[in-house]
Amino acid sequence: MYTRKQALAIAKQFRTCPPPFIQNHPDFKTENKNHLKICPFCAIGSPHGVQEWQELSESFRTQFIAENEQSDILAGQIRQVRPELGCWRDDLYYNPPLVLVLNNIDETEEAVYVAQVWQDLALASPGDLIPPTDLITGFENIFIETWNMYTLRKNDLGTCLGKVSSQVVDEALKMKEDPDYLPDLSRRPLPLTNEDPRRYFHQLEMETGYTFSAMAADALMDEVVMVKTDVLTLSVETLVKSMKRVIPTIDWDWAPDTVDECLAALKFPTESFALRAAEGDNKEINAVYLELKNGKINRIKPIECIIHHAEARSDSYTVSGNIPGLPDNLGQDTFQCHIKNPEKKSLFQGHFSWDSQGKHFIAKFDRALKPNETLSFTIVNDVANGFDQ
Amino acid sequence: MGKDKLSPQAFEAWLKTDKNRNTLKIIAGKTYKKMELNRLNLPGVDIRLTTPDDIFQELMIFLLENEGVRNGLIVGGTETMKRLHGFLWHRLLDITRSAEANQDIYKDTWRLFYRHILDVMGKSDQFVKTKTSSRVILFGRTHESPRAVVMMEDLMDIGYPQDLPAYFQALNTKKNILRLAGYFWEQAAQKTQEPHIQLNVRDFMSWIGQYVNLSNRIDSYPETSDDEIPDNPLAKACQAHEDVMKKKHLTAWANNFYHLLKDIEKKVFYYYECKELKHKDVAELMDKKGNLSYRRDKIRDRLKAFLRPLDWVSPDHGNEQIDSADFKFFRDNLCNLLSTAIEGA
Repeated sequence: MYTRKQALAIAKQFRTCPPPFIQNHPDFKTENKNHLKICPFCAIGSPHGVQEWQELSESFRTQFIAENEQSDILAGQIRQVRPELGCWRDDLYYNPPLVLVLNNIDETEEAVYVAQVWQDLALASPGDLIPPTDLITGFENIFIETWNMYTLRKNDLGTCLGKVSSQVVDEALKMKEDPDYLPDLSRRPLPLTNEDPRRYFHQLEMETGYTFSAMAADALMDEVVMVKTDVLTLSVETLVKSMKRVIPTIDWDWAPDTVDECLAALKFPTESFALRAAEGDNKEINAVYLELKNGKINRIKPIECIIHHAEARSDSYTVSGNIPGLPDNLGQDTFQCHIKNPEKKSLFQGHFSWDSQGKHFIAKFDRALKPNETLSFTIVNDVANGFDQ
Repeated sequence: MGKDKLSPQAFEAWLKTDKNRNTLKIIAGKTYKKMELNRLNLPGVDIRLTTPDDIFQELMIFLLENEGVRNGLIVGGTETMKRLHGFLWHRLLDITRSAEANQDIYKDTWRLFYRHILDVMGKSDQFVKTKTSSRVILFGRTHESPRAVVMMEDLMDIGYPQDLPAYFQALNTKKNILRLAGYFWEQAAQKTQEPHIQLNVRDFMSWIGQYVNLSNRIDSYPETSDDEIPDNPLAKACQAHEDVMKKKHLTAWANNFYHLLKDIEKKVFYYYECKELKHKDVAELMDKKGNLSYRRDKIRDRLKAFLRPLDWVSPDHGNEQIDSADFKFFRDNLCNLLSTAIEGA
């Protein structure tokens, strides 16, 4: 009887054991030695022969797959992450996974949004999309980990090994937005049990995804055009492009014409928000936090501002609160605040006071806040000149 | 794919290159070891009557004869491995049933029962049979594809009906087989909320095997489950071999987990889990003000994750109990390593 436990054992070896050409590579003697110390499969001689199968596959692909198959990258393709990107981390060798391409990209774009996939349905669980066989080509079975989507460079993608229909891609993205949603076309995995091996498979998949997405993010940021603290001196096009490279699904309330708008009208994709329980009656807004390091964009993320008090007058609007997640000792000039009107596509600047010790703020605007208007805070932190978290 | 490049001749030539032959030999050797370890000597013939080279030959034939495997090779995924393991399993059964192995089907209870079930199901209008691409035979109430993905382990805790006999000779009648299959199917459909569930006949037998002795030497066994099973020299020899392998593996895994722990974690684990000290004592030994239970719990989680895919030290399916002696052996080995490192030899 084939069990999920066996499926997990095989998955762990596929994902994190070095293939034979790495095992025998003279440059990786230390890494291989360290891996043998901690790997329960390699320690007993990798009983499933996983690495050998990988080696045979690699040899097969090299021999029989034509170069011209490396056509345009299109949504719906199932591609292998390039084998040479396999890497060591924490004494494990992360083998490049198969991914489903989720967006079409043109020649000018560097980043591609993907979902990790796995072939063995024994490890499918709620949150995975299992397309019917008539909507897949190239594979007998596959499931899409809609909870494990990330950004890669387009150059990270290797051979295209199969496809799913555009309907499957759309439904996968819907599942990402709403984890309780299961499209009619998908098969239904059974719920997880207490010590279900699929729980540990999730950990493994997240680690694998993280390994390759972090590598891509670093590389993408290296390619980002120089952005200094005086980010406000950049052209809008450059800034938009740079930000999109960091977060491809980032968007704006309206197409920005100025650098101020580029920051203040920015909308984060939902996956950028950490899941959290509502806390008390405090209202919150999410500020745009842009971190620069060595003159390049290091990070863009939403940061939670808790509003304790708001005072609306006919000629002014004032809010105060705190931003607990910020680094210490940020300077006053790091902050900007605006009233944002998406209908009129306009910004009205206010005065922002920051108490770095207590992490309290007061934002004051010299006019009233109208219906359909919202507040926007932006924080540009140069960690080379300032303070890292 | 460049189809012209992938003619059967080209594939065969590729398969027979020295490098690939060597890789296949390693796979065959490992598969053999795994079969040996798992005592895939059904029905009644020792795996040692075969050799790794037999498995290598079978592998070559399998790869050459099955075009589907080539797609698997492109992907290099788990499906190929599963198919291959399945193939080898059945192939080994064929070998063990060969004239040389002198097997008599009428002494092979499992095989006999399997054939009987297929025959009964085939003639019944209560069930439909479906044959999958990998030659697995499923039974269900309709030919409609089920939507739920069900593993046999999801169904192993279905209880045995009290109104059916739990010994083979009495169970092995047309009427009882149909009643049991009907009962099992209903329970499975209800448990998984899947009205079109289809069940593998072999899995059905695995489930029955939990309650009814379908052992290969059943002809010499007493028929009541309360009696002790008589000595079977072959089983004994295999058991001794498995025990040696098991201990070797458990010792290696204890060593692996030892190396996974950082120095401070080694101490936390050792004081809490090996010496079973209280929070206060651990904190004092570690020169910490607060208790270290959070850190201990994190290490426990890592240990669980480490052990979950491994044989003997975690359940194969569901919430079944594992043999605590195996876990104790692992834990004692780990504690010995920690003791040597922390307290000195």
